[in-house]
Amino acid sequence: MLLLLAAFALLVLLGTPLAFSIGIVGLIALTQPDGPSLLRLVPMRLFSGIDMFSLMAMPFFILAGDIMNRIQITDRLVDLANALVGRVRGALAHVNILVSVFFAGLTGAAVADTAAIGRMMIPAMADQGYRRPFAAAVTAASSVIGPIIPPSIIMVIYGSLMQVSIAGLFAAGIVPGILMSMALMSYIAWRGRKEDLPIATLDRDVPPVRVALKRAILPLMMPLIILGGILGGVFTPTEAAAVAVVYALAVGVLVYRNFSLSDLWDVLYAMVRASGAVFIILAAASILGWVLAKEGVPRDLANFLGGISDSPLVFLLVVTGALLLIGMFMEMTAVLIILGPILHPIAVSMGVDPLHFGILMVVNLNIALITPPLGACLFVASSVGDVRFEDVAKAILPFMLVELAVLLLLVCFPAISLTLPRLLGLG
Amino acid sequence: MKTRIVAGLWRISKAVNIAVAVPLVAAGALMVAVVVAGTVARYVFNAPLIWSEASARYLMIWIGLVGASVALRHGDHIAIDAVRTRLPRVLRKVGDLAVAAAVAWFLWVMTVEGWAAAMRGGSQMSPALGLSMFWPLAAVPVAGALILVQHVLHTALRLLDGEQTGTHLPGGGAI
Repeated sequence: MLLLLAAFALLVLLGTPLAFSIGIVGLIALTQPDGPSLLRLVPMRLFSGIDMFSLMAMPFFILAGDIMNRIQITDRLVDLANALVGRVRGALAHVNILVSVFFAGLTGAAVADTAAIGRMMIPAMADQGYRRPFAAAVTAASSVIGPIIPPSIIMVIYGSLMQVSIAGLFAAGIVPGILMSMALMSYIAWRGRKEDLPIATLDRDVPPVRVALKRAILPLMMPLIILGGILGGVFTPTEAAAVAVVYALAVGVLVYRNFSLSDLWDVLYAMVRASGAVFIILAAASILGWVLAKEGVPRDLANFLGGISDSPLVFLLVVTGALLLIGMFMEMTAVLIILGPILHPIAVSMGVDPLHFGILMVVNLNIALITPPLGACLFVASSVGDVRFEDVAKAILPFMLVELAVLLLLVCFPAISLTLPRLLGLG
Repeated sequence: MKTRIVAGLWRISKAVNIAVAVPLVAAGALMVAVVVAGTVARYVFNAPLIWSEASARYLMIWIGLVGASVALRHGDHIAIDAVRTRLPRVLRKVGDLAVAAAVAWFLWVMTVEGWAAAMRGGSQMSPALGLSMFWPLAAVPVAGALILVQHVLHTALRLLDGEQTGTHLPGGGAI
């Protein structure tokens, strides 16, 4: 077991892609010097590791979000956010956060949101006198909301692997996501007064709310269709995601008329790329999961964690702390795919609600996206915002504290996450 | 001479990638269409299609596994470069070669064992599709072989051409 861990660490540090690091460690474990080689098990593990209809919501949501980005909805959403919160101190910072909330309902990913919103908002904020690192930090911090408010790609993976209702996870994410955005906006409001942040907004006419809403209504209908369909029990998440793709295409081709055949090739190609990067991790992790189970790792870990305390709260705090540490250095999808299937059953056996634990893991690993030294959203924000990474990493710290405080609230008060799914009969 | 080899390898890698990507993009469009058709049939016409779920799922497996070769060409596979790039040049080259060999081993096992498994599974039928399970299972060896091709080209380019082909985001692009 120690040998495997050492091999894994060595592979990762030498720059081996995570999917292959995981796969190679799996192969090492299956090649026993004594006894028969188990390598013939590899193909079936790879295959069954991704043979799940529910996982298909992931490429579909990637596709729908990508189409929405391409038909230039950012402008419309920024105008709407501007009309709503563009007249207070720190206006553009608030706009940035609110646009992230709108985006959250359209895409299921954080990093893509950082890029789409940052490209537009960071220069705009800099023009109005915000410091660039601050602007980049607001963008990165608020894009974390994306995967917490449904639809959420990471929740699709979580639900598929742990066999938890994806609809339930989606419902459980709504209130925490809104809470997160309110906490960030409160912090901006406080900081705005303290530091005299600019009131000025974008260099263009702010339309009245009614007009802005009308211009943004078509993209904003998409989350209603997705969520209404899933939470109302009409569609499975995969079906809703496919419908969302068709809806986004219809808006682009028929209404906005700015989606061409070459755009179609581009979004499908991007979906193939993204799927190719994620599915291979899922497949390879399924080999590793089998090996870990055979070695009794989940049982040992359960005994160890159970030995610390039998209080679920202590367990959740320990796991939260550990995940935050691991998330600083590892990619979050990989952490979820490797550790989720081990931690989830332990949590459930300790009496933690499966949906509650799912939300905690999702929020936790998303905060890792803005945690230096390896937060992906920080890298994207620093690159699209043309800011030095070190400066964004410094500017992000107070936002991180705000988000950690929200996470702590979510740990201590399960009702924040669980009330909505219970009301909808999904929990 | 060296630049001509590099350019040649680059062109081969691109050609292979297009040959792989065109059917995968078509499969992606088909996957959306199949699920939408299944949804419409179930909710609008109240006549569920028995084949839609399984066929979309197998398309997804092909796209997900074989798509890894497209992802590899673009350097999309998430890796942590922070330590590697700080290693002394010689040590880094040795490490790169060792890693490349280990990855090739994984892909080789995927191809060879995958082919054997697909042949073994070929006698079973998918009940929903009336199709031999060979076709879904063949995604594993085909993906293994095609990723291996891109991996070998990528490794050769990396050794000949320095760092240009291996840029990674330390946290994933898609999610």
